Amino acid sequence: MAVEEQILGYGAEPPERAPAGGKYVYCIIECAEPRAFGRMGIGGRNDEVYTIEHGGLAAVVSDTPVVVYDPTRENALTHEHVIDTVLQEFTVIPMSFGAIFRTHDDVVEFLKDTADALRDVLQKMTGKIELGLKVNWDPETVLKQVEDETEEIRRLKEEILTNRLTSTYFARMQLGRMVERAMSEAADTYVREIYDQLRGCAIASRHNKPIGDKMILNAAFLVERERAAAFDEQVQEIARKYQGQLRFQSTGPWPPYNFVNIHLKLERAGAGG
Amino acid sequence: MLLQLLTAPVSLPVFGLRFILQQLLEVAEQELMDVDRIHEELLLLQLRLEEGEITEKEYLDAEAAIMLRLREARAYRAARGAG
Repeated sequence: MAVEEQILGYGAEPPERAPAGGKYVYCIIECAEPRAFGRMGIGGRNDEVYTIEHGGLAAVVSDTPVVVYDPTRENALTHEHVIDTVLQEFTVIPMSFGAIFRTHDDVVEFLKDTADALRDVLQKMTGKIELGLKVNWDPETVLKQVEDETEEIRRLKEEILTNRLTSTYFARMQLGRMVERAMSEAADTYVREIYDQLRGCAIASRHNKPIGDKMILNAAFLVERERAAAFDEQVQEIARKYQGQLRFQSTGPWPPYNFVNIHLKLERAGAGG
Repeated sequence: MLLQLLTAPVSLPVFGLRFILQQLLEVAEQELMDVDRIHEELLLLQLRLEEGEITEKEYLDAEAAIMLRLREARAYRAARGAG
């Protein structure tokens, strides 16, 4: 979910001076009665997490001064923990980190204005979870493989080493490009095979940018709850197949962060406040 | 340090050189203030923690520095009227 304009103005005000009465929103659920989920709110104040309802929809919130929260690991974990707790009972539309409304009424206004879109998404997400998959390789190993197994690369490297070429500078550049291309193709092949293995168990998938130089896949899969075990089995199977070459890291279940696409265009002045 | 060099008072004999320096200054600013890049750095840092390459303390120290840069980047963009 993308909040196109952050609800606050830019430039954090120190918490002591910032107006209180803001509502940090973690997620949206379908719920008609008021609920409380425990003292686990963001900001280190042990604030109660509770709901603000309107028309059968509820925003899960905690009180906060109107500030910009740093996306630290601690804050992110707090955000995640609240959503996880709610996820035990409800289908959830997760908010991205840091969404704050200035007042209780702003939250109600938001629920009113986006009711149809929210209901639509909730309905689509019922019974579905997101599973994450990160796949790593060892670039050194792959580099060696690529150099040994690709005829033209091996030959060019050989010629550079034995100084048979008049200009080794350009040859080295060319070698670098060839190696990069070969490694990229190798990664693509692995990724294709992994998708082929998992395709049958997932409703949808989304690529995110791999992090660091060891990662070749950083993907999220939308899976029906009842198919989660089957999906997991397929991951195990392909992990076994590539044991020693690739390392698989599964995460989740998550709420559908990567599959919810509501764009909130809010007034700069502050969420209709 | 690049920024300091570029903003030091210097009289430039050639217009062309001044133009190039200005471009470099803009690129340097963009890189420093690019929130997406800073986010990527943060992700990389978290990965290193997960992989056990750095300690919790090292992580927290580096994270604090990144948070400062994020706030600077936000303030910078606000000042320039960027969206």
